[in-house]
Amino acid sequence: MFSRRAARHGARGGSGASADGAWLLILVLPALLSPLLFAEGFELQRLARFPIFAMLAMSLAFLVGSAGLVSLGHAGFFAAGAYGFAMLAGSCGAPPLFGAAGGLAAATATAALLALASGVFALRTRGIYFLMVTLAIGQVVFYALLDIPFFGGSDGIFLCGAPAQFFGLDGSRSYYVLVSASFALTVLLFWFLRRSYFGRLLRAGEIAESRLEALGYAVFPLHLAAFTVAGAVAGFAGALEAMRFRIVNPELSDWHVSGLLLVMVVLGGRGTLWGPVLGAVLIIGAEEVLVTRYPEDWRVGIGLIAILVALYLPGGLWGSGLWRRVTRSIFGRGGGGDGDGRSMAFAGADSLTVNGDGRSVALVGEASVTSHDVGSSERRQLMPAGAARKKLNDNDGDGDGRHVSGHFDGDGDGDGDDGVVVNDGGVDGDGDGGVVVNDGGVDDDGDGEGGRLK
Amino acid sequence: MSQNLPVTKRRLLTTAAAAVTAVALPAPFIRRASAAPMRIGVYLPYSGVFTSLGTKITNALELALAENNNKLGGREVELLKIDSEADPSKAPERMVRFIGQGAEIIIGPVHSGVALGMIRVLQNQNTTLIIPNAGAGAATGELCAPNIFRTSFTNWQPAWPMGKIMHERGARRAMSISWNYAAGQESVAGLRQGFEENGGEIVDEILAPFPTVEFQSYMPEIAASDVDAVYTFFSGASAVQFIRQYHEAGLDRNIPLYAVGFLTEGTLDGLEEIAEGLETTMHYADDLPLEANRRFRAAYQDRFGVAADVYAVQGYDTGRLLVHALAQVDGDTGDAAKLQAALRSFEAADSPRGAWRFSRAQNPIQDIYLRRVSDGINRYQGVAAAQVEDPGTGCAL
Amino acid sequence: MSLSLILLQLVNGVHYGLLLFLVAGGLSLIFGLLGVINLAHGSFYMFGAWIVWWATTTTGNYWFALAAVVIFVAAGAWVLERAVYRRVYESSPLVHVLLTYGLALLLDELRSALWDDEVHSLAAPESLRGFIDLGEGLPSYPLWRVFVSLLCLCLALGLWWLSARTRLGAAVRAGVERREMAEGLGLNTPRLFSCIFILGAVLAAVSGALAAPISSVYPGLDSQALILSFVVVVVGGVGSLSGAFVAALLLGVADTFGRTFLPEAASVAVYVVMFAVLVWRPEGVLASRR
Repeated sequence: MFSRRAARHGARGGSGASADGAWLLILVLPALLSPLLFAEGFELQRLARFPIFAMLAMSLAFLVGSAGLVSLGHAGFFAAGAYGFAMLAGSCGAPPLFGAAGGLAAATATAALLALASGVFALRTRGIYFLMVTLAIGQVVFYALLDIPFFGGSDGIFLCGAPAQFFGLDGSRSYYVLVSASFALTVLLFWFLRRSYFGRLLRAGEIAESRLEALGYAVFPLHLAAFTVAGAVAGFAGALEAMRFRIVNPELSDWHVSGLLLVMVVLGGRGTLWGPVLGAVLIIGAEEVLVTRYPEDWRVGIGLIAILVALYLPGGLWGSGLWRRVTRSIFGRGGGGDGDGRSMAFAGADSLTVNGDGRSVALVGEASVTSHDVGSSERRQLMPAGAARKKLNDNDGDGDGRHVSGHFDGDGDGDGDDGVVVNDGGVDGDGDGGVVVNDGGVDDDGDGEGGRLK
Repeated sequence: MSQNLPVTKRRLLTTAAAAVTAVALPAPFIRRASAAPMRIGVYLPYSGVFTSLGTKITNALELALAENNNKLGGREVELLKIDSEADPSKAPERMVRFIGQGAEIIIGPVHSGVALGMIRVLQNQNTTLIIPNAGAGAATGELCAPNIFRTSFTNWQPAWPMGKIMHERGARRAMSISWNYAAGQESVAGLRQGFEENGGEIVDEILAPFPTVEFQSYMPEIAASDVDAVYTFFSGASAVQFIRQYHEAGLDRNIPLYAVGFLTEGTLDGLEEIAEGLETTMHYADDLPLEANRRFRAAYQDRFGVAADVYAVQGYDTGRLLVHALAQVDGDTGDAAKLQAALRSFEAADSPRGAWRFSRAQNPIQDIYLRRVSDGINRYQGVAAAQVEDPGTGCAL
Repeated sequence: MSLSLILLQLVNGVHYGLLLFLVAGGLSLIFGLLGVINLAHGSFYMFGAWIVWWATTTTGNYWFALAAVVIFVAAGAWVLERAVYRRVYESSPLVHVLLTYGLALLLDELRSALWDDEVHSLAAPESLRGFIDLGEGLPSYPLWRVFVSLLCLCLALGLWWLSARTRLGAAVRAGVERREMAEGLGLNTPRLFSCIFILGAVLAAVSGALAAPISSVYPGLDSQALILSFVVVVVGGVGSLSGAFVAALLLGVADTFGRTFLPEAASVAVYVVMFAVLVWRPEGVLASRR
């Protein structure tokens, strides 16, 4: 029902060089590869923790930021990938089923299957329920790895066989290059997914699920696809983790890992492409420093970071006012941001037209749901899916849940006057822009015109 | 307001990239100067359920070093501590970090899984690893290496002599209960071997999910079985719960409970009469009648205000081992083979736990004592088996 | 396995479930009314156990210590609610997770700083240390467990009364069902929220204190209590006390029988029940049809 042409147009019309684009790889990749010049052996393997967790955080951010699904069991898929690789490509005794490449693929598939299967359960729920169910999924993985002798129990598994080598590099260098390339591919994947039709639908679903459903889209398969993709990428990262020191352990799926991942995602900026990467680097870096400096009390530091982020920085660093101010103070006038966040947020606003009843609905385009939409619909998320939908439909005004419309000029002019607006009272940096969802019923007249912030 | 500044954004990202590099850089550039203090990496749990073990081992290690003026082979000592969190998945990279920080010797851990993670990196390296607790058989079995030493025990070691003791006490059919994890299974295997060698039979093995706290549901099964002894491997909180629930179910009146000493180490506070009379085997007993033991306990109590226990002894012996070996090599850790030879030559004549020396696989050959809980203390009853050596199966050293 | 053994396991399961209800009931209330995912809920349970141990060893009287638990935890919860939780009621679940995850870490460090990291055992009060003899071939049953089960039942009844028969209960139910409407009708929600938060925290702490003579006192109590209560809340339905009650009993029994009949997969038993319930009724066993 959506006009695909319009969607494609939107994609093309999106901001080519936003601060959150994949082009940043040009800068990040050399930095990522630079350790090859000064480090070797185990040191490279140690440093690979950064890109691996960045990949993990990106995959979780895709769920959290694009689909609005807050998962507390992501480490389960990480571990599934790691064990999948260990058992399929690193088994001792009998020759392994796969080589390194096949093992990576098989491990990713394992995690994807697990995500698909568990997603069917988990996605029957929403909000708090979803969070708790995903926590339970992670716990099931943890206990399965711990209790079932087949998986090697509490001591985990040592991988056998020699590490993969290519390009004439030694094991560690090959590995580091592989991880870097995987990181780059993951960035491109999520960059593409976020801009794709699929990514837009996901975000549309997060902002106004009932409207999307009213337009004839089933949200469940969209979410299931997102959950599976995120799980697959986490599994892929897990396989890389298994290759790293060639050992796997049930602790990989500990729920604290999932908790810490969420901290990374939020700290960096969950609605952004690069935020999670920044968050992962900062948190892992902080952990490294704290755990050596304050071995007895380092958890105080991590706890404080989590609390401070929750209270003062729920929108994340990337693109936030704070980050801009910090960089501006470092680089002088005009450093590091656009001043009010609007051009970044609305750089790619575009429209998707609906053919159904002739009215037009625009959904925000690329990069537009940045850190502004803190918790798009709190109240809604407190309820399981069914209840939420009903409630939203009630609020759509005319009550039939069908003739839903929104009006947007979709001109991408970045004036912030239009678009869907989330009334979150959250961290908007400057408070003037953002996407507003009329969840509270301001738009009850059904003309789609209401809910403007100014 | 709106400034369209892609360039500055680019700049912002360069900063981020620089930050990545900055975090990544330092470790490999910290290399030791030869006259600098000797750096020793200490990888023990300082958070979570094993915290108290980590603290005791660290305390006693520091006591042993302090008794030597905080010097090893004439060099000042600097301890680099990292919390192991009892998390095996972080162990390998923490070892890399230690090496990057210039650690010449690494001490740790408490948890067996963590030990395997550490060995993954330290195998075939020059850096020496001394394990002050973790009893995973593999560390001095199939994974043994010239640079891996252990000053504590293997899970097999204190369990095996218990088989003989149980048989002596009249047990013929016994069952075992432990957590479903590697240490528990290794311990039960040791007991089974010792018990069967003496003609007994283990008729049932219960493996409770790790880390369960509720044992009540196993009591009916134990009560219903016709065994004349129960062997258990629990430690810490689970030990307290098991002892209490076993008592409350009234089972201790009919079926005697046997265990390796971990059941009653650091767990007797508040158990009072419930634990009285429990017999365990271990490589240490609080009131071991040795001058070295009395001296050590007094010094430990004096310095830290709490009583020493077996974990403290293991930490202390680790310190004593270092003092001995580094004196032999004059504080030079550069020649790994020489240092390893010096470590191997250690003969603990005045250890609080009695004399011990390293086996071929570099695990202590030591006396295993029979102890009995009385007045809240693990009292020495005699030697259950003298100079027990772990078979070190799979070790090619 | 004989009938008497199965019955005994059932009793064990119910006992376990009743304790679970006490922790999870409070969590469910807090979820339902305040809309806060409280990962620090297990910390209240942990503090209940540690305070009762500390106060019992200091004063020598368990009952006095139990009162101390209620007072200290209520005061602590009050402060936390006003200083921290209140600020995030309107925020997204994501913010709640981060905030309470951080709080849980800090509270555990606080526990470590206040006391130590050892394992402590605590005896049941003198008058309740006996056993009930169940006869040949069966283990005896400790009086304390009977007492705890009965007390939990009483507390559950009390909660039901509070919820069904009092103004506070009516306000809570109104708040859970239709928050905006309740506010619109002039219910003083901030005070109501404080009350419920404190009630939930105290329930968890009391359950920790009651369990202390059974489970002993040690670091790491918090995570264990937390995750199981999450499962109870999912199965029971957010905000539903009766749902939490049924769910806790169901899971307690499932766990106990799981250990007996499927020892290798025992840890997973409760989760299997949870997934089954999710398929059957995604909003919880006793969810009202909205």
